[in-house]
Amino acid sequence: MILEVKQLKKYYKNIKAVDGISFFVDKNEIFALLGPNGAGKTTTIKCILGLRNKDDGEIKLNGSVAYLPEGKELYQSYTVKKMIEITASITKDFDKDKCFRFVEQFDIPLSEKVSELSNGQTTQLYISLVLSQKAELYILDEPTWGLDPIVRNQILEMIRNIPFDGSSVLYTSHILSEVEKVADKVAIMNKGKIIEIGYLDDIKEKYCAIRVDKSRNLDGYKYKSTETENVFVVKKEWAQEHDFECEPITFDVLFEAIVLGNNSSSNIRGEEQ
Amino acid sequence: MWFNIDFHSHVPVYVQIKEHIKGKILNGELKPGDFIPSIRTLAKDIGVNINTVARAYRELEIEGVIRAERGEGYIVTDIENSKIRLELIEELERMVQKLKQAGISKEKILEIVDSQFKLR
Amino acid sequence: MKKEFYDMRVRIIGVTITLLVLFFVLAPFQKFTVSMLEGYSGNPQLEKFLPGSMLNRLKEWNFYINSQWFGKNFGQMIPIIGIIMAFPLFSREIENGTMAFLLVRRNRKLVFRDKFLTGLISLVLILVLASLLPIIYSFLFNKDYRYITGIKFLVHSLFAGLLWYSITLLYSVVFDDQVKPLLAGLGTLAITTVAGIIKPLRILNTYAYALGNTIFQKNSIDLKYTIGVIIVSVLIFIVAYRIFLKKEI
Repeated sequence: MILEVKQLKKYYKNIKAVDGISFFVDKNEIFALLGPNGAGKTTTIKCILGLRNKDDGEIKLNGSVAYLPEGKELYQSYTVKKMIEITASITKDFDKDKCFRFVEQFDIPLSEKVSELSNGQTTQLYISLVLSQKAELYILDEPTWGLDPIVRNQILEMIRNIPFDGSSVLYTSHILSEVEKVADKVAIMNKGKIIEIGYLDDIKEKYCAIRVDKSRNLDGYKYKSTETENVFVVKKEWAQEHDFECEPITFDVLFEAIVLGNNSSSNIRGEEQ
Repeated sequence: MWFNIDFHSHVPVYVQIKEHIKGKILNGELKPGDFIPSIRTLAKDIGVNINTVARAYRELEIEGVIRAERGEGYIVTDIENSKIRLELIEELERMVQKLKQAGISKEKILEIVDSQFKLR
Repeated sequence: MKKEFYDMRVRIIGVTITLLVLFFVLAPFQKFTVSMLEGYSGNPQLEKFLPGSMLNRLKEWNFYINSQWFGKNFGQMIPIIGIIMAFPLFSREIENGTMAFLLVRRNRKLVFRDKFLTGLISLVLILVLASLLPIIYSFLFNKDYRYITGIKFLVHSLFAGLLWYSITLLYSVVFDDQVKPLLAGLGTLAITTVAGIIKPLRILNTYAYALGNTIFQKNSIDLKYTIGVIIVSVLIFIVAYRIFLKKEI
């Protein structure tokens, strides 16, 4: 295990930003941390990196880390070239040539000042810096935010290739379709807790949608209400036990069900009210 | 080897991989004794995680569709008695039941079977 | 550490040039200044600021350069130089978000040490250079200058600058934007200086020390104050270090 988090807690005054979460990232694995804004994803990452002080719990990091922060902040007054040089001077296991090749591939002019780069280019530069560092765990916070679709696919491919060389990835994203393309394991976070965790494929197979008469109300996530029916998202096991016909659902529906269902504290086991 | 993966589908990716490989075996693209790409190669070619391909291969191995040859890779087994055929037969049974429920006559169904074999 | 010096380049160059300018509007113009002031003697306004006795003393090179440089042009700048060197040291990177970039690559102790040392070395070099200017100039232009006095002024300048460097460094660690440490440093300077008007709080007026009061009065270094300043500065550094180690980014 490259990273192990046990019962991590981080509170800010009254807010339980991270309220007792546990997960682990294996070698060669891409682990996605999903959740709505304010779920506690960035706080979790900052605690792992030592940028914030945890209030309770254990964090075991068994290897070197490379980090791409959400804000992609770089030194505005440096040129791209200088940014790479400075990074090389303070980063362990940094391949400067590899970085220059990335930057060339992304068509970013070396003499341009970082402040003059567009958001997309800044992200590309930061990703180049991060991927040129040899680390056992790459922690990426919203790596493709603000990128155009072609570049986004390039980045996803780069992320997918990371485990090929023996490293692991922990990343956060809002873009579910991307996570589907890239993640092995997924944890869905909401209000400081992890409400679902497992292999993406397994999670997809675990839930389904069932249709019931409009008059019936189950204690589950009501996804839709048509003229005659209520559609609920429930666990497949429960649906089969109770002889419901299972409709497969896509991940975004499932995500919505899990998060919004959690918000209203409904239990998508689907008990009859 | 390449085939398209629908990441958005409710069918898990590893299942899609299994289906594609079984499909290629059934249509003759892959014959018993042929090697299928290594996990790494297939993962790179179709743009999917190593772990996902590994899982697909694991399950194909359990199902008896492929076999690991030590040091050389994965090889397609002789599918005479493998699960693929059984699965397809089950699927036909389910389909016939659906047609029966839809009110389609036995004669019509047999007509369809005939015409398919005539095409061969 | 190269990066830290690079990040400080504007401050280092700016302060150095300013000091050189301040020195060279002074040093070559002794005769000119004196004759200009003599022209005004008899003027009651001027008598307030420049008693006749002092005008005579200005004719003497030692007094001229010491009073105008250490007692005025350079002396007034010393605490401000300390503040300028320190204020963005930590707060700039925290404000810009690049502190995370650093801390993920090097541990906090090293980051603190590098920033602290870079600022300190720059400060020391600038203050030493500025303090030695009278000596160098006098040597080059054959002026009769008592070198030992210059060295005594150097001691006061160095430790006065160090004190304000340490205070502002603490502010730089504590605050999350660049402007606050600067304002806090200048504010603290203003408050302590003004408070020093009250007799029992005299010790708070660091300017008296920075301008070399005891050297002018008794031709000796104020040893007690110097040691006090060193102790306070070291304590402040330790506090800043501890705070930084635990600071949430």
